[in-house]
Amino acid sequence: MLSCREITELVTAYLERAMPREQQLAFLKHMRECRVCWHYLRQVRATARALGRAPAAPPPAEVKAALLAQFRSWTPGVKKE
Amino acid sequence: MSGTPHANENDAALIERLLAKDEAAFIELVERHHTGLLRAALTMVRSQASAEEVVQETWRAFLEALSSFERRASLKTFLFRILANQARTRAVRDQRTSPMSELEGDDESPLVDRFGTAGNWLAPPTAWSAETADAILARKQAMEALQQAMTQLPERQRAVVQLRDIDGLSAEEVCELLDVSEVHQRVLLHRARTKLRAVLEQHFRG
Repeated sequence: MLSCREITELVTAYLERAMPREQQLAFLKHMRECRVCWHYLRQVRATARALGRAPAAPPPAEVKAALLAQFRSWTPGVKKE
Repeated sequence: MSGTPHANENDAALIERLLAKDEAAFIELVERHHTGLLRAALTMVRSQASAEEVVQETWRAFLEALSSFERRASLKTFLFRILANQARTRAVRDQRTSPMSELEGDDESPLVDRFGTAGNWLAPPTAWSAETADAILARKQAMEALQQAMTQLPERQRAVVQLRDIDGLSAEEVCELLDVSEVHQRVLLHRARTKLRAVLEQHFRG
């Protein structure tokens, strides 16, 4: 029987699907029986997903212009020395 | 959440357009990846200026290598791989022999005082007012706190959570880029996510 503390230590392994089958079954059993840990798992997952969906600032115009200049002077297949 | 391991159809079309010197295609790629590359570079070199140079070099090296790109990886993986090489070269030049060699600072789990001796919750988390990514994203203050908390993470944890959760690279890709084992990568990710969740808990607990 996994304790709640152990569950919090295994959350990432569970989300990464990096658990032996037996441990996964024990983890899921705990989740069915413990509302607190179930919320905890949801919160960790939502935190990770929110990070990934935060809009990134676009590169500044002058950076884009400099890179575009680099692109214009590039000849595909030719390595510049 | 993680990127596709192989070049997809969109990538193939984009590569064709780049090789035909389609400027719109290049700008599209820059807009999609530049900021992510810069943030990743910042976890690998010391200064903003170094990171900006590393990313600029990455784009140059990317173009040079593009015609020989074998398309076994996605364009994104390819870009981040070049970035890691450029950052390593740069770190050596900046005499930071290993970008990941610093000791991790204070690294106590935010959950340390919350369990009894039997591993039971003493201070159990409550349901949040927002428990989905969408609901969290809608709360500007919480997202700002999250971004701020990212900057406070020990360096290696920040690098892993950046590449995994923000840039969407796979575990395998991150292990390769940061030269860490699969287990270590997971430990770093776990510690970072545990801390970041604790930051949001301040905002959302019922």
